[in-house]
Amino acid sequence: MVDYATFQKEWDEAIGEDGAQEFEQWKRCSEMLRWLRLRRISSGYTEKEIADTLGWTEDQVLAFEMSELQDIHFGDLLPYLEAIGVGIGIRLIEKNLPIAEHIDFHASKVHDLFKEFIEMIGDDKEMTERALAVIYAYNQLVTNRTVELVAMFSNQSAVTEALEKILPPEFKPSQNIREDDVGIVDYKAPFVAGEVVLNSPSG
Amino acid sequence: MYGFKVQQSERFRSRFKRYTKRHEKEMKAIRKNLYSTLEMLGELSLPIHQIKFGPLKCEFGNVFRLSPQGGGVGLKPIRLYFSIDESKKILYLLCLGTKTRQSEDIKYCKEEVKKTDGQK
Repeated sequence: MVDYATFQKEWDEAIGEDGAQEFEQWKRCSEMLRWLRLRRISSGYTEKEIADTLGWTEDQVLAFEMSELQDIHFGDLLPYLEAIGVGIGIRLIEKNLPIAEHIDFHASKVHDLFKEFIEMIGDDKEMTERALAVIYAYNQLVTNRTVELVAMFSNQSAVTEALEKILPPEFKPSQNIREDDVGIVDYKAPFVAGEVVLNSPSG
Repeated sequence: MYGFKVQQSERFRSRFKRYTKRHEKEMKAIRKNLYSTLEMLGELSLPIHQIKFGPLKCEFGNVFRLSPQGGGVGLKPIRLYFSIDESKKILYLLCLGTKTRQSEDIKYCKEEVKKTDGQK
């Protein structure tokens, strides 16, 4: 009998270095979606119920929950979250604020999470270069039961304008945004299942 | 991971390397599903019978099978048979098999479970 970690090493050896790295990447990049699945199961929702709500097949729900974050579409994430009763907060953070260190780990893997979002601000090349550095999905389900999506940027008005176009109307920024503002803005949605507390904007 | 120990049967051992080469995609998906199953057991404090996870099916008694479901389209129905002692946190990997060998593999699993129960 061996411990699980030893068994995993045996598995890594059997599949080779590339396979082992691929599995490690999956563990790291699917973490938020796996947490969402735990949340779904603990809330009593089956894959079939979520599939019926969303008009997906059960296999699509499964595949979604097994995905790596960079492979999913924002347009699928929002309705999925709503179906399992999880709120979403979107936080915009000025590029180069200290939280950057916090999110570097995931940055290269999840930068195209908001494909639609990037496309939207991508019409203006100059703006794209200045605006969106990276987007990161931040799991706080255990404590807040909220998924927080963090966007780093250097031009707040461009990013907020784009967000307002793609987010459902119930999402409201936590403060008034001026033309040249930089800093942190939380977008909050009121439809959440009653137990959501978003971090304070200073967080 | 969550303190689980792993015990592998002879048949599991003998097929494991072969399957990871011959059924690479399926085994990748099964590995993820096994990892997810243990994560659910560790995090949800639910008995395994109550975990509703598509690729996880109860075969008989305390023997379960994992399929590669969720790992993509066109995957062969490879199965990983296992049992679990939730109180002692022991995962018994009983067998890997294809659908065509299903009845023979299940028979083997029953014998293995008897052996394991005899050791307890």
